[in-house]
Amino acid sequence: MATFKVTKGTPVAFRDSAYPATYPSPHEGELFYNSSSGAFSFLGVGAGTWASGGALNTAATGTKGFGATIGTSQVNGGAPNLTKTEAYNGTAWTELNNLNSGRYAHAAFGIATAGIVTGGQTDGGTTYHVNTESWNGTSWTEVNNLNEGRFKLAGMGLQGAGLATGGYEGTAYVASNESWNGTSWTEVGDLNDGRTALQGSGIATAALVAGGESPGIVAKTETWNGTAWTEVNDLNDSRYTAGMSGNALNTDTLLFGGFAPGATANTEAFDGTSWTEVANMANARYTATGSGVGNGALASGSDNNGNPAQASEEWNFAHPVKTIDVS
Amino acid sequence: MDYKYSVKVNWGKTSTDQFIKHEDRMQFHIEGFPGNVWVTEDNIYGERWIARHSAVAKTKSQAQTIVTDIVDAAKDTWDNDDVDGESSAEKITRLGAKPTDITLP
Repeated sequence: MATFKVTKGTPVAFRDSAYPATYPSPHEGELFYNSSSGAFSFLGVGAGTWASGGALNTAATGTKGFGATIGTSQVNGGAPNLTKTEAYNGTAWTELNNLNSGRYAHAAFGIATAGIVTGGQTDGGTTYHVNTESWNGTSWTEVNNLNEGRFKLAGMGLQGAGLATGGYEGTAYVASNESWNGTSWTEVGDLNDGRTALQGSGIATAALVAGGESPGIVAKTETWNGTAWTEVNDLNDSRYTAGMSGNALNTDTLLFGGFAPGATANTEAFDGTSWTEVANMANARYTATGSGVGNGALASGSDNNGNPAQASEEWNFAHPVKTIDVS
Repeated sequence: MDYKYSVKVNWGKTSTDQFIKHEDRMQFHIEGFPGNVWVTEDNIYGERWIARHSAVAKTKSQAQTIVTDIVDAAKDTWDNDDVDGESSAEKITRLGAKPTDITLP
């Protein structure tokens, strides 16, 4: 008959409340007994996930936006010819002063108090905007035009130094890349592969573009060093009109959603070398607006058909909490 | 993986609550579809989410019908949105690709 004389339990810490699950927690991987709830709890390994964000005031698609953090993001424009601007505080959206020119599928870059929009189109029209506007935190002012009108282009950078790259100009997929110096646009080194509906992140001297259509759906990724574009490792899943954490560095960025074909919720993270698939959004969507950085991003607007929608999702890191109820 | 199907309007986020929390995403699979259809993993955490939101339970067949009706309407809208002289490729560039069928897991 077996005996268990040497068997004994493992001490487990008692607490009268749960550990804060805010990432990163020093208690990751710990099991404890919560005497208040009468349950064992385990604080798991932190990981990135998407959770619900606030609903836009106006359902939108084809908007663009920027923001260094989730709670300082804005979206602007939208199909068919919206001039709307909305700002997010981490919980709710507030309407701000409108763009001077309605547009969608444009480029936008900057931060909450200083941004640029350029390019885009008016739905059903045949004119591809060259028009550029500058945001000072309160209102939009028209500034110098792009050299080449286009829509579905990528925009990266800050108000004083940025890029407008790729897109479609009515007859061809664009490889052209223009540099903004705070005053005017100058043509600089072209993309290796002209394409439209691509996404970009980074700054004027270190940027990244990925995905798009040229004319098939592509997974191509290129990095910009301030002088030239270099092809690097592809996305795992080809797609166009995705969202991207546009204010992220090109060594830590996130690309999400898009059309692959069919709307996708798939999310990939780029570490400066390669893309890794991470947790999906709750809702597949394409032509949604992306903003934020690699560890705190926002996807807003558009549904799985690319139609206007109000819903947004927030990407953050958190720890899973598993509980074992012993009552 | 087994799933449950329900319908609930996504109300987003307030200062004290979220329709879907990061914690939810780490405890069970949840995926949204047209028509406010939600597919949740059939476990205790998924059940709690459905109860917390008073989501209306549907069979898989009922949920699929809701999704299919919306996708079909979107296809019709796409088909009927033509511009004189526009090629098929130009239409796709303008509108994006035609909506595709969605099959619930």
